[in-house]
Amino acid sequence: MIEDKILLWKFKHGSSDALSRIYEKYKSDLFSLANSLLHDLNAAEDVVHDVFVSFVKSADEFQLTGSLKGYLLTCVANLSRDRVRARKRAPIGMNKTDMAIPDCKIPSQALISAEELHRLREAIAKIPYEQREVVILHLQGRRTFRQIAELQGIAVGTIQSRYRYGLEKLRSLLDGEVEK
Amino acid sequence: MKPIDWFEKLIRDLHVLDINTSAEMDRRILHDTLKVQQELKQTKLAKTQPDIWRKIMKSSITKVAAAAIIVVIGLGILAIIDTGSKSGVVWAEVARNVEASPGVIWRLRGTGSRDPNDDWPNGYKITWRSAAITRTDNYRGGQIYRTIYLNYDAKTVIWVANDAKKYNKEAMSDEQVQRAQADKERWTDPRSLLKLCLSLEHHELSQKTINGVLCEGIEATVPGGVTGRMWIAVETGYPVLVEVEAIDDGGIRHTSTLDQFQWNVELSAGDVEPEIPADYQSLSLEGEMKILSEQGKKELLKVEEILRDGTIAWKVHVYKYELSDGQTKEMREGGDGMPVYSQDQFKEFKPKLEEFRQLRKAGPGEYLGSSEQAVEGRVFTFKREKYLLSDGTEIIWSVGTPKDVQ
Repeated sequence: MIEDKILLWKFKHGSSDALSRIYEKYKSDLFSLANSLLHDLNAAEDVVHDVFVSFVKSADEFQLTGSLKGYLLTCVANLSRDRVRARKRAPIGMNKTDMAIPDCKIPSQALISAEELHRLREAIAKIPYEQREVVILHLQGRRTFRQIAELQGIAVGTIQSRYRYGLEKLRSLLDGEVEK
Repeated sequence: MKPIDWFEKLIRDLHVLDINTSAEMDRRILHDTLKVQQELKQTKLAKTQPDIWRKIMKSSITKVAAAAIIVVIGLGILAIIDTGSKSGVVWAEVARNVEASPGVIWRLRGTGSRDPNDDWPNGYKITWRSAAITRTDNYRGGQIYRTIYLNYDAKTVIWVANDAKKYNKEAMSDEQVQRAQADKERWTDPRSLLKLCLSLEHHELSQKTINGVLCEGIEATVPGGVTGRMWIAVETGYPVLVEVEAIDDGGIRHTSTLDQFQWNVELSAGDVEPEIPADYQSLSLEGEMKILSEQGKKELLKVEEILRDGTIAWKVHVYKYELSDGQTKEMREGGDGMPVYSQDQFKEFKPKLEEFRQLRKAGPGEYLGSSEQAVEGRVFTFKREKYLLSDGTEIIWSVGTPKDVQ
């Protein structure tokens, strides 16, 4: 939080170092969120790219009301949702379900087996988008249910239900009990 | 059936969905965003500068005032750099001392973070830093549980997870070294904090004794709500305590404290590099084999194929890798033409595969003869056997070995 305030101050004063540092600091969170939602590393890159370009363009008027990470994650989630809607309208690419998984593991991932990791990622990709978005935003993006509800403009109860259904679905997928 | 909280823990605490970006991706995004930032800066300058100067230089009164402001700013900068405090701390000297220190060790603690993964306020970090290395030990419950060691000269990074008894040692590219060097300018570095405090509007604090040491301090505020206080030992002219605090929108006060400084220490890479206990498992193996594989530095020892009703259903290449530590390692990898199965497709194939394996264990199948075929530039002799599964599926098992070693 302290670092973010200093970085934002420098960024608003035109510091390219501060902008690079903000990118380096949050890129993994933002890419991970976009990739988890879109299952497409190229689309995730586009989303993160567009979020950062907008962020730079709004530097003068930018007023942070929450955390910087929360703000950027919200931008990524909003843009990802737009992309998914656009993709649904598009005649091709609707059934792209293969999850983009870069080869390189982050240290904590090394603590579980590669097979377990692969199965989990594949299963998450199969959860309905609305449920997946809540699960990912809550567990990975550390957003509270209230924050997600505000982001999506729906009731907290609905968000909690989506979260619960999402995790139940994930569990049944991984236990091989899901209906075909 | 695993409990729901097992999945929550997996995603939240083990970050299983986190991914690393490639250097190429980073370059593309940073290039574009920095370019936009630069263009906006130039547009802003082009719009504002002529107007300001035109207005100033139009009037003789503002011309004089502008000259006066320039002189005052100049004097102000000199005052920041050169003016000592009432009792002896000369800040310019502090800046020189800090810059000249070959190495520094300090502790970082904090409070107020709401991130459950963060160790504040129970944990702390000890950082050892010189021009050539940075080592950070993360403490939890008084014990080191993670260590990250960067050697900028040797271009290596070592990561040790004591809690998991695992470690990783890998090379850094020039770009990674550059990025790691830039990271030293972060706010958690005492040198950077001193520079920041002195560059901001600041005021002197009254003297204070910290752990028996007479200190003088300054307080500076970053617009946006971060306040920093830096305390310098009057006698030595080195920082002894740095306090940074901010209040977030939820009214929570966040603090960070840098203390237990050791200045002027020589930190040779050999002394600071973490020792890896013999029972720790290396995670580097996978990385080294990946590089060797990309470079084609592996030897194909065997090719195994399963044909299911005449179609390739399984294809494995067994490779030998010679690792940098002298060890050799054999690895089974999917060969060219190995089909990609969805979960459902594999579920359908798996029982057949299991039945075939049981049959093969029980004894050889019907021998179909041998043939020669070149694979990856080497001639292999393939021996084929036929098995018939209970549902009538025909399986051809084919194993190829290099002709030149038979």
